[in-house]
Amino acid sequence: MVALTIFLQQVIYGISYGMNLAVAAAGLALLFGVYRVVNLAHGQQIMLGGYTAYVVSTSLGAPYLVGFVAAMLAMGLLGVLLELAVFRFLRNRPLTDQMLASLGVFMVLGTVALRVWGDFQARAIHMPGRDAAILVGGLRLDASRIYTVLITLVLFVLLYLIVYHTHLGRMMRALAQSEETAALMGIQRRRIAAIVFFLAGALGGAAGALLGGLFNVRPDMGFQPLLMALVIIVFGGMGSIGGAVFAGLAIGILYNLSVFYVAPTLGDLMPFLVLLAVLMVRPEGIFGLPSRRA
Amino acid sequence: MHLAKDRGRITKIVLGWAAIALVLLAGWLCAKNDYILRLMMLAAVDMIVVIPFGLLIGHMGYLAMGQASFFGLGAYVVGNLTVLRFDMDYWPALLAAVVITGAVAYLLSFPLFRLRGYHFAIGTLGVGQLAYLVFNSWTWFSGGTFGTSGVPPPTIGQFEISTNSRFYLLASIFLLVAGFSSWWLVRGHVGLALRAIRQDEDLAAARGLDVLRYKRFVFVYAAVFAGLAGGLYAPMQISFDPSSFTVWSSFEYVIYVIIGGAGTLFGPVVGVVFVTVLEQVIQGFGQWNQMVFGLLVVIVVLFFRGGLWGAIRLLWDALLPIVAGRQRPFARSLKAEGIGQ
Repeated sequence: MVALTIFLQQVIYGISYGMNLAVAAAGLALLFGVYRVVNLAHGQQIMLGGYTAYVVSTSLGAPYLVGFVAAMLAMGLLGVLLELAVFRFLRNRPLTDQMLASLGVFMVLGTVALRVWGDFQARAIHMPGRDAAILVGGLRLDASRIYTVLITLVLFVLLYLIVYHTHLGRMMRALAQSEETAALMGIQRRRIAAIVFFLAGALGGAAGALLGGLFNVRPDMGFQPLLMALVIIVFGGMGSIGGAVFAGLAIGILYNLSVFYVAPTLGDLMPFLVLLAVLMVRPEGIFGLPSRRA
Repeated sequence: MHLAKDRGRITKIVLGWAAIALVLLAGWLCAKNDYILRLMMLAAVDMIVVIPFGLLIGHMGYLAMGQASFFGLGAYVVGNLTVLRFDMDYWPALLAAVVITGAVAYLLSFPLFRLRGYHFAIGTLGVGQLAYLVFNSWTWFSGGTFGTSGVPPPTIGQFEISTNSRFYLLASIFLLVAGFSSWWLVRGHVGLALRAIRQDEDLAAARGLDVLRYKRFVFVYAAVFAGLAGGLYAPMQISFDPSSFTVWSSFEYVIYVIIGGAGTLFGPVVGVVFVTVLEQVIQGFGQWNQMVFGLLVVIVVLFFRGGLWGAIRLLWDALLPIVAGRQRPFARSLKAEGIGQ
């Protein structure tokens, strides 16, 4: 019984961690699905989102949710800025160029954060119920973790509604299917691209605010979630948001279980082992279409 | 008649490579102090990795983002066999490093070449991170986070290769091997196959090209030289630890190739030289240097298609009609390759 409780406890922690990763991955998946670009700078948008939430909610003393929304807006705007300044020049360029340019952006943004906040000091965000918890049976449900899971659920519902039940979403899906046909139907590609970058950036900012709330805010906090998010979008199938959610949960749970039952090292290794195993069996990922010339 | 023409071409080739060897030697003679020699030595090691790697990501168009894993593997095999667990001599250990790296790359090529494009890039990124974590935690093999120290200097008879200047010469010899073999491969059927794969892999396969064989060959070839470079790197350092073989190191190799000029042999060399010099120059920017570097990467990628080497050749092209009244061969070849539309 105790063993089962401990197991469930780890699963619950895994779910809350996995949901946060899924938010980060959903941004990347959206961007890839519509815009056909893998944006490595997404990792720094996660990090800067964490800092925005920290500044607004902890330094300025606003409620956490205000900081959270501020992080989403700020990173969404940063996404639009990146599209205007960098990514629109990279259409129809080889993927090496796209990835390298986004890596350059990654370095620039990283330096900015390091210069502004000056050090590798970890900073804590004040979150409602950071130390509170509900006990059910032997299970400890941390209030802050419940809170973040609820927020991610709201985000995913919103994203689902936007993508599948609005005119904007239909335009985005049309672009994802065929850019030329969509353009011929009168869809303004440039405007949709800006909106997609806004949404993806906002999701990155949200992931940063959530991860920063659960753990801490650090200038190098973006790298690990970025790697995890990349694994997740390949695992789930490139460009599939549903796949990203599923894979995020799977990775989060596996991570926590292997950290707890075997060794922390295995936890870090796990996502990449899973990735290699999945790719051996199904190179296009779980929910992906067969990989075309990407 | 035919023979004479052939002999003329061979003479040209020999002279060309002799000139390159002389440039390497001239660099050695001109190096003023030990610090510069050390930079040159490390740059030579990077070039050994990057020139064959350029075949993979430039000529073939497969972006591998975990090359530092093979570099690290080579370094650790040498470290493990010479000081950490066994007591072997340097040269057999280096040979073992090359063989083991090649074998590992061969095995990895099975899952990895089920992937293409972004999938391949992220799959190799995963391998890079996996390797870093293994180096970090498998203490028996790597010495863990404390690292490996005191790899004995390689000796030839009584002659001990233990200074930066001697290491530079040793690395230069292997650099020539790496450069020559890459050039040899590119000018023959392998080069044609790689270009066909980059332009349209399915078409190449449909035309009867054994695509997988070429892909696997180039992947292992690049990994072998990365392992060799790692094996050379090991005795150059007083000690090394996993932080030298992170995903960031892998990114650096990609940066060398792309900003130097993907799809050329000289591009990666230009990239290494440029970044090495740049890193010295931007030290003046203090802690902003990463930002300057990142901005430069973005600018070069956005505005210099074909990289710096491409820019140099375009400049040369622009000057040629003025100086010698000749047409612009490079701009046309770029267009034909589909790089610079």
